[in-house]
Amino acid sequence: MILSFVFLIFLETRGVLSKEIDLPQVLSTRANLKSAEQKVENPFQNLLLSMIKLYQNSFSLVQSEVCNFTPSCSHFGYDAIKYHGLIKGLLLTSDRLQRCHSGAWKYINKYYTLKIDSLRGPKLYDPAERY
Amino acid sequence: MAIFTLILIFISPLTLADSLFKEGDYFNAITEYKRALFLGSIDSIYGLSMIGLSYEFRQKPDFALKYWGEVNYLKNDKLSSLHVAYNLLRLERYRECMLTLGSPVDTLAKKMKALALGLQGEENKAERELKFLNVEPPQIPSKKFLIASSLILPGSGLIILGEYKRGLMTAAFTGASAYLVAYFLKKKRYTEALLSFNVFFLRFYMGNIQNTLKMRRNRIKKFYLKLEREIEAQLAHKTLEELGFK
Amino acid sequence: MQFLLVVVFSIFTNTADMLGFARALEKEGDYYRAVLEYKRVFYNLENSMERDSIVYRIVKLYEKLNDLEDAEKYLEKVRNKNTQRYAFEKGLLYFLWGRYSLARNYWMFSDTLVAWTYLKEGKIYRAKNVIGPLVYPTKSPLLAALFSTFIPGAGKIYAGRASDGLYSMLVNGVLGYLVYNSYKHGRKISFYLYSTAFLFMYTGNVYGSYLAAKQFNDYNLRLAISEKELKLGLWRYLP
Repeated sequence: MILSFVFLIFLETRGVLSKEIDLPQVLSTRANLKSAEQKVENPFQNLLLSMIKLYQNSFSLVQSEVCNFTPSCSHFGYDAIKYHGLIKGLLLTSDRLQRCHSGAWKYINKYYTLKIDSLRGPKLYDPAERY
Repeated sequence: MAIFTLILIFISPLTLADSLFKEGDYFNAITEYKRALFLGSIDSIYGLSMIGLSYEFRQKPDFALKYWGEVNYLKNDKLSSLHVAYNLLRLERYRECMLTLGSPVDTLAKKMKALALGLQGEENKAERELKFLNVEPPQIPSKKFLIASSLILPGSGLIILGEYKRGLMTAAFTGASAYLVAYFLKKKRYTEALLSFNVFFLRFYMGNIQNTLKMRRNRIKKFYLKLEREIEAQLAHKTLEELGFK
Repeated sequence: MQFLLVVVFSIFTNTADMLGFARALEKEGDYYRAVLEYKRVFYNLENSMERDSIVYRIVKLYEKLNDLEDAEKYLEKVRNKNTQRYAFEKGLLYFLWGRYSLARNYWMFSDTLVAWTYLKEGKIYRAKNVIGPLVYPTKSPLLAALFSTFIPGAGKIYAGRASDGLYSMLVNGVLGYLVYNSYKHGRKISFYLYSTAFLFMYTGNVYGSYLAAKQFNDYNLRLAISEKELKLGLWRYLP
């Protein structure tokens, strides 16, 4: 089972399995991030990014609409690890996962703004570039 | 020469606007119609109608609604009501659209009503309207059937709708999470069983139903989008004929 | 034929009509078309003062459209640059851009405006003498992080985010219990898996509490600044 998981990640790094899932709202926040064309050199960072992509192409397609935020937590994690670096990215992702619950709607207009996503409906706007 | 120039003074704003409209340069056509309205060298109803129509062609139903609303207020005829209803439809204000249409008599208004009902989710009523118009309703399995099949066999609803990859993945993940819950229960690890049930099984199982209904909705929207394009073309043609646009 | 019509039309429409139409478009809220019409008026005018007033109108409209680059380009067309009006508009442009130090160079004639730029930069001590003190509640980010180190989620509750804190507490509590349980029963794989997850969530919780306190301070500072702006009537300078 572990071997098949590793094989899947290998395929993911080769771009065999995945298609870029760039939802319109993610593209617009990603355009604001500095060094958007920056190539990631760290292999561990690449591994984590591939794992996130694998998750987006498998689990994410199957599960219900669970994330309260836009960009979704997996896209946030991807952006955070890619543009803020490995350690800060992981910390931000972990914090985001612990903030993603229905109680977050209480902080609208205080810490988050409302954004109507054309595909997913009204969500709380919380991009990685804010950090 | 003087008479020719005098004629040009009075007809040129309108002629320029109409020329730009004919060419498809709706942005500049709107500017020239607005200028002609401001200078008072154009009939207000004609000008406002052409501005509204130009905004519709520029895919800006909010602005089009504003201008057609003014025309409807001034003239209060069937054509302007149809445009108001059409733009309300484009803005997804289906209830207001149906209130504007009332009890439609002509084919175009009936098609619009069927579209509004279909997009709002009242499929049975929409299908009835479409049958009166001799239009084949969308051939999609009913909601109840899909929900039932998804509840019994997760992923089957998606496979019926033709989403084979997603359906199979749903079945696999739901099955795997159910196995995980059963494994933990067998080993009497109740906390982990509860966690797996909440975090994995419930998520995939509910996701299966949600995704099935979402896919079904997308199919219906595709069908009605085709109908919307037909309505757009017919309405534009009818409007230009009635306004005497050459 | 069209070109002839356009030429004829532009000859026989006077500047007053063009200006009236531009104003009508501006009043309607059709700013982009209003800009085009004002530009048409601008190229038809000879008098410098009138041209300058049109330029300022165009700049204001570009600011409303949030097109600050074009606004800056057009502001350079002002002929008489030795006026306070020009200095104010140039300063406002840089202010809207967020370049507060550049805005200050042009706003030296007004202490209140200079203080406003310091306020926006967060340099409250510099603005205090002119606009008075800024009082707002704060929380220590380090203290929040420290609280969360001992009790996961406590730092977020301290920073005013009770629901976030409780959720963190639940997640870290459950994971912590699973780590302990797997260790107690000697399940190695489960132990390593749950420990990794717990470490990931715990460190995120500490960092998140630190960020939550910082965001609390930022939010209250922004609120205090807006209240000050409202009190001093500074909002009237904005487009």
